[in-house]
Amino acid sequence: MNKRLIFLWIAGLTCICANAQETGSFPYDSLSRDISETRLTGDLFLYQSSSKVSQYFIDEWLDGTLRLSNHMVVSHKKLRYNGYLDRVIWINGNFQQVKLDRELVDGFTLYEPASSRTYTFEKIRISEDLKPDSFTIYAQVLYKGRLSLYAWRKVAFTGSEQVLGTRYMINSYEKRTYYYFCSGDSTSRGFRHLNRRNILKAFPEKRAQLLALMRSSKQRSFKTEEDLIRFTRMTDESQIDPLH
Amino acid sequence: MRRTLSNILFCFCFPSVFFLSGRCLAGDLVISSDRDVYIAGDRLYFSILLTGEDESRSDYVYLVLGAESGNAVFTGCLKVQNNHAYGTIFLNDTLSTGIYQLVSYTNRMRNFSSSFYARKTIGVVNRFDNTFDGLFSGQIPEINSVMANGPQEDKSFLTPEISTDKTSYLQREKISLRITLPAGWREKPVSLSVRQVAPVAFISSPVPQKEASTPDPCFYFPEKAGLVLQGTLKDENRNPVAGRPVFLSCEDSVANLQYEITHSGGIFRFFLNPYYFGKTLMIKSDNTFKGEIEIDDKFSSGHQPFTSRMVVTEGWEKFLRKSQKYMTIRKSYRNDWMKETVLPGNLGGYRPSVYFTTPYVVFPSDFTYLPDFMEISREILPFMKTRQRNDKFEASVIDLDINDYTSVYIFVDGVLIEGVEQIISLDSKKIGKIETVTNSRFIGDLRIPGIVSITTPAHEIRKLQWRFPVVKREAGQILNPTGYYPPVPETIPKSLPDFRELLYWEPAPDFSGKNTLSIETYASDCTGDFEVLLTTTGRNGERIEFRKLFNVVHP
Repeated sequence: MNKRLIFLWIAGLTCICANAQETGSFPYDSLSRDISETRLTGDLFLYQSSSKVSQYFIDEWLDGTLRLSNHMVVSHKKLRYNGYLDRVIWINGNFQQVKLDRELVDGFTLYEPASSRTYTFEKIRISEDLKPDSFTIYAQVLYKGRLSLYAWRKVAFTGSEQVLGTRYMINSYEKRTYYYFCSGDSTSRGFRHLNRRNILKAFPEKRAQLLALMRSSKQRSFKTEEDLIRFTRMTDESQIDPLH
Repeated sequence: MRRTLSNILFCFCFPSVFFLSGRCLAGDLVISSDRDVYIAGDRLYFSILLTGEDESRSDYVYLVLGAESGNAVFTGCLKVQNNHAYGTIFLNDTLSTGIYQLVSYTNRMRNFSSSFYARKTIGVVNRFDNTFDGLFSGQIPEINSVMANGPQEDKSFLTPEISTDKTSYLQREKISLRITLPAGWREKPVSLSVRQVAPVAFISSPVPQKEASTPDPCFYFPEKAGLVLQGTLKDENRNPVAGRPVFLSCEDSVANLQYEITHSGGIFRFFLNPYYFGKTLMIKSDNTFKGEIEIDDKFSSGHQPFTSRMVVTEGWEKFLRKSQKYMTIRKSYRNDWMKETVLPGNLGGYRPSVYFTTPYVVFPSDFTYLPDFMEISREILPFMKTRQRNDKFEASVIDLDINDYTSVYIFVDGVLIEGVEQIISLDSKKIGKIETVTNSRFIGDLRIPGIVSITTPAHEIRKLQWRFPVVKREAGQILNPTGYYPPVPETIPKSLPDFRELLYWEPAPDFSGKNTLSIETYASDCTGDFEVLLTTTGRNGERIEFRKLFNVVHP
């Protein structure tokens, strides 16, 4: 009986070992994934100016995933989003900071372990007053649906001042968030301050319908991003296409 | 005790046998062709089915048509779509009579013994050959009354039912056939062919099941979404060089570059996405490397000598002579019924650009004529400096980030070159455009201090002289899927002959969602015995053929 048990035990163990060896010895998937991974390209980034307000969306280097224009996805890269340059900064294997090419990166996701939150950014095309052409920006996805809501986490340069008693100049920056609604290829005008008037201004043709929707849902004030996300979800579910 | 020991030994051996069998690891392929015997000048249609289900299988298959001596007559690469790859090979008129073998495999299968490759033996007869000696290696033909045509019908398991509406047809008459798969049928169809019965069969010696072709079972990677170009860097003493950079770029209007650092054994691998297909690749190391760059030949393992014997039945000679005549008639009337599905050339392809935009673009044609590149850089390239020191030329560009001159990577027609010396003779007329990048660029971890990219109207890259080893290699062109679409005989005037020996060819019979397939085709002017041949996979991944005979007679 004992011999039989030993025999079965060895048989089982050997089979398990063999199977483990088979999958462990042939990591074809990871090898072919590694070789086909697109190499990231960009310019050397030299951060020179010092300021009281950071240029980054989050100062810490976060683990991130990049969605590239060639439909490839590159994961587990240390990334930061620079709101002043509107570029993704990557720290490469030689610990040099690289401004990734805007043409290469279509979007990216940052994972913040402290809060277990993820921040997804996508490249959207917007137009601004006094600018002749439209241009692309990286905007954070706040709500994704038929009607989507994006936030451009812009860092604006507001001036520079000399540090008293020294020759050093300190640049001043300000974090400004602009919100955009997108539906299909259309993007609404951006607005900065969260209030009902600005939201309705973004949809001049559907003002009455949206006003009715706000009343029926008792959504009267818009003070936080959560209010705006709730309103976007509601509009998306109500089948109103405010941009068409 | 002895029994227990033998049991234990069996336990240890059993998984090893399973492990080394390689079949489940090598990735299974089954290959079939439209006929068994061809006349040189005709087309061979083939179908390849990937039966492996694992995710790590390759998406590209290689095909070699080799002679018994081991010489490759044709090599090609195909993209697998829905587990199938199919196409055609034109058998050159000058092909000598003999036995040939179609061999197919994936890059990953090259890690294992070539005995796992899919093979199909065929005979080719030259149109002007009267003796057919090449088919029998000069020996007397072996006449056999029982057909032993390679893979045999296996009656021990479920068999599909192939039925025709008649057993005898008139010339150019419509043929309706129906294939019914039995309940519980699990094998996969590879191809369906309606063709004239060839009174020949091939008996090939099995390829010896050697040990794996490489000690490392991950030496050759599966190819997904693109091909893998692999090579070895060797020094002047032919010893592998590890830790050296290898650069790959191809001729284009935009500077492009991939780089790799050689691994142990001097191995480097580049992923070639569809952008590279059909382009000329240039592979080089840095400007101190004086050894040799060896590029792996993926087709080398596909064409090896093999031995095969042809067995014939009565009437084989008459059959071959008739086929030669039919071929001559088809050639005279230029009958070719293949239809190619052109795959989008660079579907899923992307260029690994070194940079995307630069504000510093100079067109020498906008300026007065300058006799050489030294003058060009001095007069019209504000950020570039070219100096001559001890009969050597050195170039540098300003890095605006650090406000100093820095070394420069020069690209000509998209290809990274060794240095400015190679292009010093280019004058204003030979250069179309010069772009300068005045800051450090990164491709992965590789830092490129400054870039000058020159585009020439007359492909000057092809004329440059190189001091250090450079390998030029054509990136494989992927064969397009090609089908056989003969015209309906009713549309052919009766005055024109229609001597098709192949009446129908479907490289990927579609039984999806049903177990019956109905097909209509037409007899040609050829008379004699014909057969419907359904090729499927077997239980162990082998090729199984099911036949149904009928004949075509004169009215």
